[in-house]
Amino acid sequence: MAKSDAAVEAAEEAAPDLWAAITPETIWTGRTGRGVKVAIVDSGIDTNHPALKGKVKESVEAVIENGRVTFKPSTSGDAAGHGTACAGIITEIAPDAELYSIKVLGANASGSGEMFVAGLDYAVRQRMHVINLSLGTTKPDYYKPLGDLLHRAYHAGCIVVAAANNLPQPSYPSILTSSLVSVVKREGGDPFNFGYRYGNVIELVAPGVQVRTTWPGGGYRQLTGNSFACPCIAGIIALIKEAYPDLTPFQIKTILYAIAQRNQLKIEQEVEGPA
Amino acid sequence: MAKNNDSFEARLKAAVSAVDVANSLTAPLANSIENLLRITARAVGSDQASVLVRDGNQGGLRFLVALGDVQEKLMQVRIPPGKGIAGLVFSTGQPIAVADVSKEGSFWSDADKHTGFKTVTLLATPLRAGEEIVGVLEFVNRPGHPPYEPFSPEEMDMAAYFADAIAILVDAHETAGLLENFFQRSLDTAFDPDRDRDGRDDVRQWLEDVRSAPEHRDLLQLAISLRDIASRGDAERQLCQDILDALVRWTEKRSITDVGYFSL
Repeated sequence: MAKSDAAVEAAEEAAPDLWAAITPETIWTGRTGRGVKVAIVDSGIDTNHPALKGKVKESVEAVIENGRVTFKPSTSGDAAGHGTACAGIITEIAPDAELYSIKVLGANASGSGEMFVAGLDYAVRQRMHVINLSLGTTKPDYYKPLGDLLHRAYHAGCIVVAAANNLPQPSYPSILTSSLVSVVKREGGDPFNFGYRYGNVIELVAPGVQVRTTWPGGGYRQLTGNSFACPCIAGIIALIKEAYPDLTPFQIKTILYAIAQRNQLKIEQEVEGPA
Repeated sequence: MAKNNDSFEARLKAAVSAVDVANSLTAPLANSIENLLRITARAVGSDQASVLVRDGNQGGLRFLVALGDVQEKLMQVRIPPGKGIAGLVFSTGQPIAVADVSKEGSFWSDADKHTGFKTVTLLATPLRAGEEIVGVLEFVNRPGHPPYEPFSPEEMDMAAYFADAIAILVDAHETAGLLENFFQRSLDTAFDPDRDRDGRDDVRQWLEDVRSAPEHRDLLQLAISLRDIASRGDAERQLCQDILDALVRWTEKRSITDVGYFSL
């Protein structure tokens, strides 16, 4: 038997208003990402960089032994710079997040798709709260293994954030949108002013143009690319997870969507001016 | 003795005809890449542009084509695996623009040290042919003098579109290069190193004459066209195969034994 309109209204009034409850104040103001484990599957991290010292809790790298990819403690740092750049963006937003470097690219790891998949698998098995993937593959062979892994990540409560391909070709896993948070770059300096494009394959847009971030050797670079929009969202998720550690990936995406709608509304109001 | 001479002649024919085709494949492709790179560089707003390709199996890179002030020196530079922005783009598959590499911190500048060039701002985009990354398209600085405007997201997108076309040519060039190596080895095997140099010089002169024959160029053009059609998919490849099979059967029926300039 259907409830009467009055009963529905009464139930709605009694229930907490999720959308009203989601504000920057409730989600990230005063948060630093403390206690949140963030994996960066990339080219390694320069752990001696002054801005990253003490923040990287573990560094491992992919090696092939007996024909299988395994992970061993890494001391080779980051010859390429990509992982260090991503780490800098995350710590700028969530300075107390615990970083875990999973190296699958670089001089000692040639960056095969097999290593990439193994790196994500390692992160899921380690129950990382947030997994940053500023890389991808266009090989359809990896569609299914990555899809299977993302399902496992979803059920394990790991939130995977992936950079979209900058090129006019789909890349995996970023197009597997239902199981992860996919990000494309846009201009703008405020990491919290991100957008949501529900209905598009790549759902989130975040600052990724001339982002100043850490670079191996103790320096900084101003970099442009989807690779650098992705850690921006990973950092924000770290703040949300600190505030609400038990949130599921689905709930996290809902919150990002709500905040992005608010951001969009704010932009429209600024453009249109006061009513 | 006569038998040995016949055998040598047969091996020589096979080897020189093969080498001739291979050498003629890479040059026009390299020219096409350079021409397209020039157009791309203009569109993106840079006059120092280059195409880098895989160097060995460990992820290293070398310059295939370069435009600008130091192009000759660049051709000698080898980039180790994972090094430099180009190495990074090659391994991550993601394009990257760097606003000013000279401002802060470290930069893998061995290329600059070797060439004497000063990289300030750069844009690098992966070259993808099908599912494979076959190289990197890189633009450095702007025309004129620093400070240079950093490359914009729109220019990054523009480079990505041109990269698709360049990647197809690069892939074809690299395939042709492999064929060249293969045929060169065939040639080396065919020639007995103890044979007198005069004999080989004669053969090389003969090769030059063959290359300059207009009908030979026509055949090469036909080969390139067939390759283009065949590369479009399995159905097209099968069609080419069927046509060639039919042609072979037809020629056999006509009992043509002399194939023109391939006869010595």
